[in-house]
Amino acid sequence: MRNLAAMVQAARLPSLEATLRRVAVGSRSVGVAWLVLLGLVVLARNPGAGVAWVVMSALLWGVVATILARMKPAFVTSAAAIGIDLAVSSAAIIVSNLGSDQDRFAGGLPLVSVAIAAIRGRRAAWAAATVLLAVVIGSVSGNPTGNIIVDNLSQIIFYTAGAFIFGWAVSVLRRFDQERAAAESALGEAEARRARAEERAEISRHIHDSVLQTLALIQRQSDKPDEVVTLARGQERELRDWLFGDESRQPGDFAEVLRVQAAEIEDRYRTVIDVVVVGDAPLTEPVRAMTAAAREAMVNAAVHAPGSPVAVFAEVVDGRCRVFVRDRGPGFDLDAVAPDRGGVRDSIIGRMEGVGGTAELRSTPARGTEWQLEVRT
Amino acid sequence: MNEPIEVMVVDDHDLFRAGVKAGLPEDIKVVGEASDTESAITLILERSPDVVLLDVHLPGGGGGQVVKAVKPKLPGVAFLALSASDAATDVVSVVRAGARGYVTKTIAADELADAVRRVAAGDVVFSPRLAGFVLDAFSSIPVGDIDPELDLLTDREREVLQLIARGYTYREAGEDLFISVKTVESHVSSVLRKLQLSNRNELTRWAAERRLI
Repeated sequence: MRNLAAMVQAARLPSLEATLRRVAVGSRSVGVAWLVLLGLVVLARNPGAGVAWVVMSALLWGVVATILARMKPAFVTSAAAIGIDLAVSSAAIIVSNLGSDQDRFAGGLPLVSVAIAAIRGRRAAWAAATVLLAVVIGSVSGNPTGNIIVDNLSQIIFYTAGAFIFGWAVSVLRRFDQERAAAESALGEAEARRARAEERAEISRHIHDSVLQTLALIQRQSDKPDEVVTLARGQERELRDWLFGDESRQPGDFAEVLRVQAAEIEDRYRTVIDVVVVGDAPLTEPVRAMTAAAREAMVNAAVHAPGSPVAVFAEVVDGRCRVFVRDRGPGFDLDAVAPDRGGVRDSIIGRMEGVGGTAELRSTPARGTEWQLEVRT
Repeated sequence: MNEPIEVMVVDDHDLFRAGVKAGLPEDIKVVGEASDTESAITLILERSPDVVLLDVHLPGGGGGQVVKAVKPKLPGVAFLALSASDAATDVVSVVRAGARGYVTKTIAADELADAVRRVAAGDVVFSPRLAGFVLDAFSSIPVGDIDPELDLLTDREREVLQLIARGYTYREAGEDLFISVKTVESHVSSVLRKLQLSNRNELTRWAAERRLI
């Protein structure tokens, strides 16, 4: 049942962590691109070595980060990656503050760094990111009042609030995900319990529907031995099939068809047919014809040798399919059967010859009869 | 007049044991009954019967375990396995453990008595179904490391097994092949020996694959 829960777990793809990582990779790319584009605009208007360096570093970082994210997913939210984000952001802030107000080009990357730090999930990480950005911004901007904190209050509030919002959102997502996983595993267990209960119910239903009913019938018919044997035999067959049914057996193939036929004849003619099959073959036309002929032989055995068990042995070896149907009845002489009584000649011998097979009869008075049928598969 | 054959009936179904006892003729005497693996081993070692009629499925282990426990101490005891399930692994495993034969529980009383006599006389009893199992087990031609002495059936052995699978008695099989009943028996014994001694992977795999028959 734990397996089932694990399966449910595994089926729920991608996981929350993988999704968050994808969000981090995406927002980092956007942040870097934003910074690079703004930087290019600044360069076009007012060329300067500092801006060019920062733009090139950011470009390089964007490429490296994307490649590393592919190779090693854990790198995406690593302290090193966040550190580089912050370094690039800080460099952009510092460089742009050397110019005019229009030359600012840090764009969204500082906020992205804070968001990725929040995804990393350690409070220390996003707190450090926020403080660092605040300090950088404070230290480089002009100081009209002389108080760093007051002058840069809006920036400090912006990054702190951003960090709180991202951090809170991520932790809510994570908690929700854990609860969902727990609920799913409980569901898996409940499902497994239900499956077991159902299986038990099916077994009792089966035993009630068939076995108990048959036993009741047997008790009522106990003065008719033939009836009892037939009922018991049919029930045995059914139960055996239910318990030990070979799932590898192909329903339409030779072995199965032969068995089903034997079972029908057992029921109809109140006899016992023991079927032993070695190997199996698909039901091609010759094989189908042989099964029909074998059926006729079984019926004959059941009719003419009542009360004696019929042995059916079939084997598929080396491309040949053979069936032996044997009874221990009175036996008969084929030549003594009037030619116009076509049963055996047509339905067994004729059928076999029609598909290029052979049918051989061995019959000894008082010892029984055996048909040997053979075709190439 | 010969001494009666002493048999023990090991089966966890009381009704089945009672039925077997009631069906056995005068010359076969039931000297003990057991209904689980542990008590069966103890009782067989204590009474040393000629033949043990052994259910394949027993609480506390199974027929195979009984055979394995008794054989080294009392090699003279012959085991005739009885099974209702007909599952190939059950049958093959108990025969491989050392049983001298296998018959289904639906066997008629006189046939069971006959099987007991044959096993007591040192013969091997194969039901048509067991013959089919064995043919199947040896039918796939193994590749690689095989011991032809143990891992393959001779043509004669295959013929004999086929006749048994077709419902022939040993006598009828002998008549069909123009050989004596004794020769038929020796072929069947040889097949049993191969079945017990061959460690061919095919056989084990076969048994595992055809858990269900």
